[in-house]
Amino acid sequence: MHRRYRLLLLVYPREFRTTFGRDFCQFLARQRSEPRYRSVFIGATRFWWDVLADAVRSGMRLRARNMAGAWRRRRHPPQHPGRREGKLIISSVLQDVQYGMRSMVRTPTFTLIAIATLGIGIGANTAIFSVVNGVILRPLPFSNSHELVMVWRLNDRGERSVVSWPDFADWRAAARSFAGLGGFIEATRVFENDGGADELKGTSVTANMFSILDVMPALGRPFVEEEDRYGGPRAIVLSHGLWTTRFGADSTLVGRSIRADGEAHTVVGVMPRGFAFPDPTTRFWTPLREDEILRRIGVTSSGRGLSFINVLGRLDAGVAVAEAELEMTAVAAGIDAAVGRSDSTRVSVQPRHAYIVGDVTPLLYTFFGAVGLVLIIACANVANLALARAAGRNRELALRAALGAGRLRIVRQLLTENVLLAACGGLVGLALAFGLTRGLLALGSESLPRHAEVSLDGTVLIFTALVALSSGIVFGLVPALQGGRPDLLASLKDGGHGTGLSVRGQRIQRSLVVAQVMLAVVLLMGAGLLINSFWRLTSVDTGFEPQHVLTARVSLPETRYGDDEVVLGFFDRLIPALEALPGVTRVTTSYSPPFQGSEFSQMFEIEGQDEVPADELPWGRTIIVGPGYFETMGGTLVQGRDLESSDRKTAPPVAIVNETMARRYWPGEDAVGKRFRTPAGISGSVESLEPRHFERDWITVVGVAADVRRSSLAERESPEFYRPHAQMTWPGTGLLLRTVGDPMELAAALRREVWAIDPALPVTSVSTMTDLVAASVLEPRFRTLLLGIFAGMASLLAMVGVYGVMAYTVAQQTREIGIRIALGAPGAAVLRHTLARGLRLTATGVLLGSAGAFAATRLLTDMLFGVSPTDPATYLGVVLLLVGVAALASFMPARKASRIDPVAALRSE
Amino acid sequence: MTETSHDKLLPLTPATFHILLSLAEGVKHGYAVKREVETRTQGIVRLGAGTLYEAIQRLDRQGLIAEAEPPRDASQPNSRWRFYETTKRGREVLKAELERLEADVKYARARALV
Repeated sequence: MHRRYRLLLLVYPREFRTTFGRDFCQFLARQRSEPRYRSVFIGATRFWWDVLADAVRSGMRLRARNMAGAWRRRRHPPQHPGRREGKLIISSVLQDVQYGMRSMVRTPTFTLIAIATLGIGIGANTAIFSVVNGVILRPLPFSNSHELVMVWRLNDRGERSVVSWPDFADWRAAARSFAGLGGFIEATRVFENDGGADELKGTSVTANMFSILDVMPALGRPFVEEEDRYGGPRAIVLSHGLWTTRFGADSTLVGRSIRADGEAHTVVGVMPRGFAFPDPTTRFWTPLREDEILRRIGVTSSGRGLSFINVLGRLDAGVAVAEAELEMTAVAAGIDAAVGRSDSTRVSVQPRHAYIVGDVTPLLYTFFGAVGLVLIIACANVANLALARAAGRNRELALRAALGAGRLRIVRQLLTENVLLAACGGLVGLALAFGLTRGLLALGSESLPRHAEVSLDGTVLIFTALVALSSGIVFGLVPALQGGRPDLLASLKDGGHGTGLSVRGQRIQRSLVVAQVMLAVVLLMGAGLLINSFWRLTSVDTGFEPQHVLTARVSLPETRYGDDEVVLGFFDRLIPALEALPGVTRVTTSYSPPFQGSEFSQMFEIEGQDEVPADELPWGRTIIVGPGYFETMGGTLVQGRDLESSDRKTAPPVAIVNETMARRYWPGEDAVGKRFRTPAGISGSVESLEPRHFERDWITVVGVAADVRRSSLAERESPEFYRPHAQMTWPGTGLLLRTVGDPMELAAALRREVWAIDPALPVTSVSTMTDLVAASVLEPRFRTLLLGIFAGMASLLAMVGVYGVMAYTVAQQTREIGIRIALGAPGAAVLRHTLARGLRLTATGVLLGSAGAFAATRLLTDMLFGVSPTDPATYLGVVLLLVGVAALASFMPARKASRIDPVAALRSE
Repeated sequence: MTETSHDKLLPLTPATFHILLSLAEGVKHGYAVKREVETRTQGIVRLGAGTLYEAIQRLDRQGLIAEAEPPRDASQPNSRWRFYETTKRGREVLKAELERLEADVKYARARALV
């Protein structure tokens, strides 16, 4: 157990090892069992990361101190003579470094290519690592953040889900494993300003949330108990950003009252800069009050079926996640028994860190693996170059050996040169990483949580240094071992020419190329699959015409638009005004336009079908739309009619259903004219509202619409029904405008028309439908692009490798080929022969790589859409591509070989 | 070991300061120092093994701490740790550092920064 730790001790000077070795190992063994390192994978990674970073830092300090001591002793000569040996080593290392620099300058082409190749490899690795470090490895920015956990109810499908208010209250009263248990949900509020209004995103939290997170407001105080009770005073805490941008960082603001959603709120505090909970887009916090939420959802009383609270807790010191989960499951079982719930509730306790980064972790490690492969390929390239160069220096090395340099000394000198090269590559890589990281974050900010926390910090610098050093050793070792045993006699006898690589050296060179091709194949397969899948995803038919549609949201505040007639009156004025704008052909509303992210589902009951138990009733997505929806969106009505302005509240309730719903519930029949009904009230995204409170009126189906993609291109069809806005009035809605030209040109006019009717209304999410659809594929686009770039780099490097080896082989065999041509071999045969050699190398690599890819691409299964991880077409494509490029890479040297002038070739020797 | 004046040792690095402070309370081994410091500072100061022993070596050489007999009542009877305590000189340096910090805090307080 302690052996691994003993190995670490080698970082330190001997004196330190003998004094502190045992304590050091015992220390680490105890540290390993601390709670923050307990989780299986993250814990171990974090532990070794902490320990290695500490060892490198303290080891360097100690060694530097010893070195400084040695210098001082040199200036004041020591009393004992045994020190001279150490001095000799230092001076010979300096000599190696000097010598290495000189030989770098002497072969500038080699040096530049090597540094650039390594720089690309190291830069890509540094960039990805800085993301991995900032997003995954670094603990959340809260004190003892490993104690923060999310507590979920598991629904019947085993998915984590939010909690109802009564359950949350009971959990809080009963739970013992936590230092605190709090709840939060997203909350938006409208803040009025001169001449307009903004809708801002905030979070409602229980009063204890700030103490659970252990962050207190920088100004003022956190919420107090009576503020999250029924009918308590209205309070608000502002983020540092909102306080600065909107209130000019006015420190007298605390205690004063501001207006949000038309109601007065007392500002009780301002959070410190950088505080982000639950994410950086949150601008303010309000107390989480049951009455407030129910009012906003639009129901009068909450039951255990109405779930909306996210639960966050801080574990008591020393309590493990599993223990807390066990306790909470017991608590939930107690509640189930008390309220007579038949099916038992299961609870899941999940570390907050895992909740935030869990989804993105596999993706980032995939990238990390991919850039790792790129670096290996880059190293192999440089190793090949260095090998060829070392061969040219055989004579020089032989001479040095003859003059008495030991084998170790020569190996060390070659190694020093390579480490020096790698260090330069590392510096170039670091510079590249600055740009790469920025580009990466710009591309992936939508897909990466915690992206604001990514930076090139000390940890990343140490990582880069380690990568550079180890790649220097890896690619340096190959030629060093080869060069370490120069054939003295042969080299010196050879009349002054570089002899070229030995048989063994050539074999190493070829194996390196095969390995390069192999790794490039693995990466290309991965990228190929993602590209194929992305292509399929983006060519999915949405079912409507997203071009020339402008979308926006308006939210009408409850306080002034509490009455349905007032809401409808507003739209009755707005829509004709918008349709009168030049360039607008049709305008409608929809509570949940496609790809906007807001939607809700309702249970429904089909008329005339057998009675079904309440909790087995089917669910359908409810889409509230204004008149002329299908005309505006360019959707297809398969049957029946569009919803019209005559479908008023007083008219019989009607709906249009989608084809999936029609097919599933009225199979083989004409759905038009059939009837179904839904529960009373609008229930938002509520999971299971107490059933049985159905509307008395049946809803008649008046049309059947073609299926559309609504939240993502990859989704499956599910039952949907469209209801007229006038029959199901909702104070917030999306506006949809079909335009003739560029939709964005009408954005300003749209705002103007809304504000002409009511200047205090916020107009949010103004966007074109095409942009919304494109935004839904940002994440797949990000990973496809990134893996594509890595695979491109890998293939390019591998092809440089193939070219390098073939060119070198031809150059080495000039004389032999010359003789064969002189003996009458036709140029075409020479060409074919050389080409075949290059292709044989490539084919071996491709074969091995395909086998590797077969195993590796399984990791991508979850990221693929419509393509299997062993898709034969992709495999074939990649193989053909690589073989083609390899043929090109070997063709140039092969052609050169076929044109060798035998006379010149023989004379040159 | 050369005697340097206390002022030359100030200000102390965070690691040195916390080790001196922790050992001034009583004899401890390295890991116990780490735990004590971490609890007291609520996890803000985390000492790694290398950093800790590097500082211990330095403090020992400067004569600010010294190796001590393991305490009798240690829960593990034949403990295999090295134990340390703060020397008289260590206490003097710690006191000088605390006075220096106090002066800074006073300064800040006088200007209503705290």
